[in-house]
Amino acid sequence: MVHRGRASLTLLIENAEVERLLTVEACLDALEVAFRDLADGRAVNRPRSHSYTPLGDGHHYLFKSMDGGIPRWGVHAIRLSSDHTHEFSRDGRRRREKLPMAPGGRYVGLVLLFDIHTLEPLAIIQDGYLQRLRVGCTSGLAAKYLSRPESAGVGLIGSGWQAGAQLLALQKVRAVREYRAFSTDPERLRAFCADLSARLGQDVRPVASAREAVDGADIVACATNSHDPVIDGDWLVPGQHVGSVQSHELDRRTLERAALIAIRSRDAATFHYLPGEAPVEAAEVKRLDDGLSAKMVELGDIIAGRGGRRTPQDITLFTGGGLGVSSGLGIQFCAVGYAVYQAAKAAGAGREIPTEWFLETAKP
Amino acid sequence: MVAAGAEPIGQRVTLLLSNEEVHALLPMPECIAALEDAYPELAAGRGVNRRRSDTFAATARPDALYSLKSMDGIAPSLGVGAVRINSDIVTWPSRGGNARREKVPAAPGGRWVGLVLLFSSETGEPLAIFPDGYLQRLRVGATNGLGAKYLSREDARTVGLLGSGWQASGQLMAIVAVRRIAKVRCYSTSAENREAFATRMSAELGVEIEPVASADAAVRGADVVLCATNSIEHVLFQRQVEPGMHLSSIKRPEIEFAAIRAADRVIVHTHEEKPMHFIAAGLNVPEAGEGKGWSLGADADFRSFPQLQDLIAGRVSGRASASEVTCFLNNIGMGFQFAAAGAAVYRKAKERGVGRELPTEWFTEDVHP
Repeated sequence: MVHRGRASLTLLIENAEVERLLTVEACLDALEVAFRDLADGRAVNRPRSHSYTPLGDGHHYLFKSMDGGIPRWGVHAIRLSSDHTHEFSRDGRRRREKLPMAPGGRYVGLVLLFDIHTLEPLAIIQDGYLQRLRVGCTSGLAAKYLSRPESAGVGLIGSGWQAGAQLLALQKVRAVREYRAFSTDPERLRAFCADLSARLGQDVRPVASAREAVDGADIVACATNSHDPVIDGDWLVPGQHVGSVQSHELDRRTLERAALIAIRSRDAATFHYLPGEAPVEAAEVKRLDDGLSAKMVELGDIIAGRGGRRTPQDITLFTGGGLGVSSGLGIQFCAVGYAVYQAAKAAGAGREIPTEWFLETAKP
Repeated sequence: MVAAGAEPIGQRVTLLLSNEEVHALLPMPECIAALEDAYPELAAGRGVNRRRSDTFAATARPDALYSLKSMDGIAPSLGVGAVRINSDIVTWPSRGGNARREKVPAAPGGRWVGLVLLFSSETGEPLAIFPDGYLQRLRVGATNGLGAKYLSREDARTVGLLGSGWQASGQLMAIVAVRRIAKVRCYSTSAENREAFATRMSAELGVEIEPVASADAAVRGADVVLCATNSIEHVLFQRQVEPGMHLSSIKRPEIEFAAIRAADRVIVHTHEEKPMHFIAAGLNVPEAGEGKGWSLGADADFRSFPQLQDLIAGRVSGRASASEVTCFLNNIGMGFQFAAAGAAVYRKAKERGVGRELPTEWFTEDVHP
């Protein structure tokens, strides 16, 4: 038992600080280690669980959690979401949105980071910003290992926050010289291109169609909330790498043409716990498509060198949203949460609260 | 349906409570009542429970593993959801010939880390955060107390107690809350522990407790036999069982399956059979192995026994005669219990103005996650 000279402090880190402190490079590096350790069996991941109770009229209270540990850093994290969700139909499709029902119109999502040697909570981190960077950087990692090394042209579909994170990550993994972006909302696209051009210090050019974004790009990045495919697999040319953040964006042809489909994990995506009336989302049991399963490889195995692009002509695909598998992983939150914690410690940032508040002398 | 985020964040507070405060706020009889009131909601399919998960990874010690354990549940009629999280280092020492599971107090100052986070199931906001140690013992005790309330003879007066640890004290607190107990005989493998336990708990509960030198001496002639050990092997056997006894266990392996099979009436806590284990490659987790811990007595079809929630909701009946042997197996805990009992703790803390007030704003966000 190590008794420290001073009382331990747990850091409470809010989104604004995460945004200020968490660099794209640190996020990429942390995720790379996490996926490699997971593939090598040195890290551990628990898939997401959803517990629901109906609140009526398509509303549910949804408590969500997932956890994962990275022993080489001595940390384990659990991500908790306490959500009020609403399912409804629009344009003949079921959609689900999170409602900011907490006082002040806020959401509740937290990452609790624990020290696996001293058990203490090291940090409690608001998950909003790191969640976004996590998705962008995971796509970026896939592009680092799967796109052709000389890739220089990026075609982006999407103009939301997630689309921006894709470009921020891609800039760090390849010597990108050209960015083209398309979105169904031209006004939003113009604003997006101006904003990202400033952030990247490189020109992001708006184009008039998805086809124009895809044509000639070395890396195609799809980052939309569309429920319909946003690209046509027949547009793709040999050698391209395609990244996607959710499976509705991809058509069957893209999946067929890909020589390799990278996914985050083959494990079950989500365990659902629900009494009474279940949301439609949970009733749709998703599973691996047998026909495609043979060419699926976990991202960690690709990083560890056990799979990847075989020829410069291969079309490679990373589907971050999974194909019936692999939702967000607890281990990703552990990795990014640890990167945030390290940055906050180095900068002296975060609100310090006594760790003692969270320790107990009563044996649980 | 209230409008999204209708209330300003303003002065909203999340309560941080200590074990001592939880202890003072929720006496055992009130915890028993809170669970008894809440279980019918689970039986009716309105409440929900997520099966416990144990995630294991290696530590610097070759004989110890890190475990992050969690379970959650929602009690909509109480307007709460709760998650209980344990950040543990676990070892499996062998003592008295039995393998045990021990949590090492590895946190600074020789402490453990277990937390309950209580959320509003209407707005999602965190209502309270408190350590789990006291409530953990309380809800395990209350669960077996409920089993004894419905299954033991109403005139039960003597208790045979196997175990002298923290859980054993919770079991006694609960049995004296539901039956007029006159005498307890306590056995545990350590003479020193059982003697100290008898002295301490006699004073606390005002009941005569005699430390005895064997399990047989504790069990013989008892109306209620309480197993409250941390053994991952059997501690109570069929040859010890007498007519009219109520057998009670806090973990699945404690009672030999032959004794369970021979009992006239068996109720289990829940049909969830074991935690979901997520284990890093190459690690040995003894209780996850075949023939030990969760798999011990795997020939028992636990799903064939009714659940406590069905007994409380009146879907199955309790003891029918004085000579019946009844058995309650608290086979695994439920996150739902932390919601039900946590709601009672929170309500009383608010009423009495107890707890440290933290701004709820710290734990909520304006960025869509």
